Amino acid sequence: MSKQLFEEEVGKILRNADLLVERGWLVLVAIYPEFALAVKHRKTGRIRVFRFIFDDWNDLPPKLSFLDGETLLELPGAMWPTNALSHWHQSGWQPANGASTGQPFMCMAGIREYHTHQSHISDSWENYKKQSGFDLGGIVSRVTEVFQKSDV
Amino acid sequence: MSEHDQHEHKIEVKIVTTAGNFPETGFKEFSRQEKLETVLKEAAEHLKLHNTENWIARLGDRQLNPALSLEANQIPDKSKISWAPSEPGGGELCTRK
Repeated sequence: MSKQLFEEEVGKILRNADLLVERGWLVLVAIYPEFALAVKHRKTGRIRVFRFIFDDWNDLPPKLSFLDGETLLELPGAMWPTNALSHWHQSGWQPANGASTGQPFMCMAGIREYHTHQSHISDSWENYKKQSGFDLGGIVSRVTEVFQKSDV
Repeated sequence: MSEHDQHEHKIEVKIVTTAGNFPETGFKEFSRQEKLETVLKEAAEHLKLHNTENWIARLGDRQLNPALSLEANQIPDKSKISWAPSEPGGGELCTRK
């Protein structure tokens, strides 16, 4: 069911050439459960590769990380975007047990690291998953639009 | 008003979303005086989108104002308008110690 839903929602993106051009999205991987795309920052021209992992979609929201466009290794936190609205954290993700980690993360509803962060456990994904704009395409849109407003 | 004059007051646009486009192919003609919010509402109905009050319409880098007409938004003919959910702010609690 998770794979079927993933493929349906990813298919809507892949078949929509206007969407890909208007948003500046270059899809690199679209094989369940991975959806990776390169996005050009409109102001700086910098390109970042976003990797979403949609395992157990949509019982769970996707995990998010950034990849190096050449090596496809995960980008260190210092290479993550920043902004004044606290979406991006270059380190310090904390699981439910409060353990301190150096893991970078995006703090936004719809991203698994947000809903499993010690500070947001009470804000369940169940509150969002049926809302408009929290389907696969909606989450990817939200993340990339926040990226466009960042200081990458 | 002649057919030519009527055409001069029309504009063709397409609304582009991750759920699909309105219209699905080509463009749809609207009066230049039509408010953008009317066009977006029609797109939402067609694409079965709900709770789109906080979505943002954009033409390239420029954010559009749904309360204004297509003309006042300076939308050229045959524009593809990107429409997507907005994200107001991040989580301050993430950094609380």
